[in-house]
Amino acid sequence: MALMMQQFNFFLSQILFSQINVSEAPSIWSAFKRPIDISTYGHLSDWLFDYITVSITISFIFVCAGLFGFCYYYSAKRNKVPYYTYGYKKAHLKITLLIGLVVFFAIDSMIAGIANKDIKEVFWKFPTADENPLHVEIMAQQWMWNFRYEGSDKEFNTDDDITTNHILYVPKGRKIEYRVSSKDVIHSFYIPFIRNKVDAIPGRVTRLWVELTKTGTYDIGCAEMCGTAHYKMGAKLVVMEIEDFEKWQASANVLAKNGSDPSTVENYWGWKWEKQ
Amino acid sequence: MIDEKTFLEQQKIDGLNIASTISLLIFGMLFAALLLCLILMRDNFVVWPPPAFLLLSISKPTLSTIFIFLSSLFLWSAQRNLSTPEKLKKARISLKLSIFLGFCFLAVQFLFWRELNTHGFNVESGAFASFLQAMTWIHAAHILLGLFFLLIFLNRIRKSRTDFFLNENEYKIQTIKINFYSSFWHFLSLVWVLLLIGLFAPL
Amino acid sequence: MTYAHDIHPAPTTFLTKYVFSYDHKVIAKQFLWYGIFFLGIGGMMALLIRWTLAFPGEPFPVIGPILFPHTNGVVPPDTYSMLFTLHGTIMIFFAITPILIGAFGNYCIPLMIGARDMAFPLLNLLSFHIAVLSAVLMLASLFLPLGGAAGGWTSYPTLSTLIGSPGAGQTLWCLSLFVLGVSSTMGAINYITTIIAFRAPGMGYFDMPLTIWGLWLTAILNALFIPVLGAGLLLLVFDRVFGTTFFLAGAAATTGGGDPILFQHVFWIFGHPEVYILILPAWGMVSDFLSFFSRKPAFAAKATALSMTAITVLSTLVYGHHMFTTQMSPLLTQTFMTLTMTISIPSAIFFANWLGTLWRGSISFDTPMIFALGVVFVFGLGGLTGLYLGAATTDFYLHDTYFVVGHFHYTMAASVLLGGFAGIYFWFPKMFGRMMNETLGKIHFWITMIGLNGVFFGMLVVGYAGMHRRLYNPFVYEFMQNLIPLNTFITWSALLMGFGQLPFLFNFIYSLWKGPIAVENPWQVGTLEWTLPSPPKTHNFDTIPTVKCGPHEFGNPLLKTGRDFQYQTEELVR
Repeated sequence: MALMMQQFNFFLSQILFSQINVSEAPSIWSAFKRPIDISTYGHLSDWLFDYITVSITISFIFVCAGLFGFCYYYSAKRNKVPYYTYGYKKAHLKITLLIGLVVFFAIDSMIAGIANKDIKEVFWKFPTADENPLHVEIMAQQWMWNFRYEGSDKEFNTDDDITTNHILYVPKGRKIEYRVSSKDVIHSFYIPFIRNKVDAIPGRVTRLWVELTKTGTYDIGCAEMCGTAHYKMGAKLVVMEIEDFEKWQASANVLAKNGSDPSTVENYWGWKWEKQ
Repeated sequence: MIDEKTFLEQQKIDGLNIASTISLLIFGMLFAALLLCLILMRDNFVVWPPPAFLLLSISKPTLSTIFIFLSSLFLWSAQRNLSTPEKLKKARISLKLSIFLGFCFLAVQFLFWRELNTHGFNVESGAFASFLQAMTWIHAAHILLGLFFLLIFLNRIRKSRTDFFLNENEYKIQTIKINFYSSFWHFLSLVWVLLLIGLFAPL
Repeated sequence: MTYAHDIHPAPTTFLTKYVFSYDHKVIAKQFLWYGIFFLGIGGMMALLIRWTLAFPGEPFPVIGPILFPHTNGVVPPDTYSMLFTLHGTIMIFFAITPILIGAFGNYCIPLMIGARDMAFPLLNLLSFHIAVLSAVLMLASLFLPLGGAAGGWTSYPTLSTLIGSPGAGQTLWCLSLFVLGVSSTMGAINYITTIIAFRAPGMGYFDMPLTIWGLWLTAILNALFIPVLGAGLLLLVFDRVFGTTFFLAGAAATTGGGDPILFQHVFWIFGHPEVYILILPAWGMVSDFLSFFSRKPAFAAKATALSMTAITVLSTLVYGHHMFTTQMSPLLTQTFMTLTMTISIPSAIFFANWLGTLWRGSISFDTPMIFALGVVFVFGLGGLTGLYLGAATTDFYLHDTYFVVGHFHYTMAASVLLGGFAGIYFWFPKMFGRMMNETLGKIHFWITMIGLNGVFFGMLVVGYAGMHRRLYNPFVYEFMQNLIPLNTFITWSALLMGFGQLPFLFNFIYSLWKGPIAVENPWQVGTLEWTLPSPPKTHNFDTIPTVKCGPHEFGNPLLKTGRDFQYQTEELVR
């Protein structure tokens, strides 16, 4: 009995969505795992997904029971005389209306209510100044991501900003607010591991905030068709412990400062063109 | 057994009425979508119309407005004079005036576009000029279609066609078509006004 | 005296009989050939896409080297973008619309409501030939030096402006769809007018078959919202050709004021009703077929008709759920989400009515019926997956992933396709006077069903695993490495589905010439077209019928005629 339960649990865990990122030779079933959740709010999205899955699975089981059941029990061979339902019987209308309302109130309203709450209280509740969020500006372009941090003067768009592309260094355990825009066409900043994305729209600044819970390197993708190399327009999210991040930030600040200091020749190069 | 002749004739008449309404709705949705774009775009601006446009002379838009209003007025008069052959004479004159004013409207539009371009209000200069020019182009294209319809109207009631009043059903069918062409024209006048409001009413 | 030959004289020459015909039945068949042709092209494009996803770097078999000589048969990245753009565009506008709306609309409406032709036969003729012009423009765009449109069928600016898409391909795409819009609105005027004004005496709105309800509501949505697409396309063309700045923003906009999101609003105000336009005829047909082949009246038919109407109205209010990730204001986002949820109510109602129709029926599993049952299954699944996308928080994750692709293919490709096939098998006897082969039909059904579920359920799974859309080679991403096997499985299922259409093609073509001759009413059904010979005469009805009962009069125990149904022209036995 215990063995059967064990096997059944194993079977279930293989089939149902699990959060274990096991590295093994991939099979068709490896796709049935969601990416691991590295954010503080990803579980809300996963929970709602699972709630919807349970609701619609139950509904679909009823539908299939009706569909296959009726086809079996009421096939012409089994049921030679159909039941004549002429006209618009009030009872029938009431039943169908009841089904519609039950569906709406039991399933749809719950889902909409939960999603509404999550948006207001979490996803679009951007960090306030006293939460000391890390600010990162993201400029998408065809076909790469540019990331920018404030630099030691705590102001964007100055000479000492830290700029990186392809790799986005972030700390774990501290709120991060991204402000995203695009240079040319619409892109979309997408990190599957935080269950969130936001479009990068030329002429606009959109926002996304997250607090990460695991270190490591994770994929960032572009989730809006943006041209030939849209498929290659990935980046890497490198999540570090706060101490490591601050070390990196400090050294990057120095480099950035030097990079814009005319007196450090090795870092700041360029020369005046003179007409011959 | 039904009397097929009257039944089918009535179907035709009902059908034409319904088709007129739907066609006007279709054109209405096109312009409604364009006006929606205009309104959504206006929302993005702090100042609308952009100050440079206040330097534009309003003489040509005003002239266009007068032309199209008078044109609608004469058309309406023509529509009212279709019941007897004597009145038809008046209708012809009104209709000819209406068509002439329609062509005048188009002429002023061309002059207006030329004036805009020579004064630097060309479409590349921004959203306002884009809307101003593009919407008036689209409107003018429909005016052209409307003039085509009015010419068909004129052809229906021309002197040499004596069969206008011959058959009651034919008369009904022709008047429905004529009313459709005229409604389309009046609709374009309405669109013109809405366009002007959308473009020039300050935020 | 009857006016049987009054509408238009019977045509005599080849051109007036088969090319420039006023007869709605001929125009319907023209749309059918047109639609099936583009279904094939769109399908082939899908296979090219799937091949690239499952076997990157491998040349496509047989036609690959011919199409892509420079890369030895491997699909290049730019072409891949064109392929998925045109696959979507062709399937929606050049395959589904002509088959479901052009062919079935034209064929069924006059016959089922007791009219001799559409209200405006000339407009009908023009509608077809303008659609041909549109197809020519679209196909021509493929032969331009810089190729066809490559920004997705949604063609968002600024990718679809000159910055992202240089050349004339995108412009021709816009013009082609604008022209097609003209054709569709002409058709819509015809359908709405005919249904309202040309019904036979005695046929009230609720005596119309539900197929006609579906086609009528589709035509209303078409009439109202195609012009909105037209407006958007016009503005995009102006941006590309005349240098206007409606949608230009970012570094490319040297002067202020363009807004790419404006296009998204306009596009989806059309786009959401459009997906209901595509599905409504199929819903109507399935509602009728379930009743016909269960030999009992459609359960709560009036409620089904009213639910379809409610969905039609609601569909105009929910477009914002395509734009959740553009960060509209929270109020707008929440409003669109709530309204999107309300569409579940009428959907659940008519779904329940479908099952109610089967309940206690006497079901025979002819080919049209099994396809209709297939629609119930796939639409149930596909419709339910829409809930994930309607809830904004799950949508933040699932937007622009293969989950969306799986969802809309279940509801559009699977449901509409199966519904379309059901219609073809059902009306083939009436259209061509011969029966299609039942065995081949069943083989066609099962292969299509298995293939289709493999493809689109697989897409739901990879989408949930995070795979996003419109990728030439997804496996440059580390997190998608474990999705390769399932992607390969999806491609094999797609190939199976593609091959599954061969029995259909063979069946169709063979039956046209050698199928058994059809009797007047092979399915023993009471709607008006089955009172006519197969195929009907040019003028349809010798005398306009008088309708005395509804379209689903099956199994009335008081019937004494020996039949188990009543024609709509017979007085209802009570």
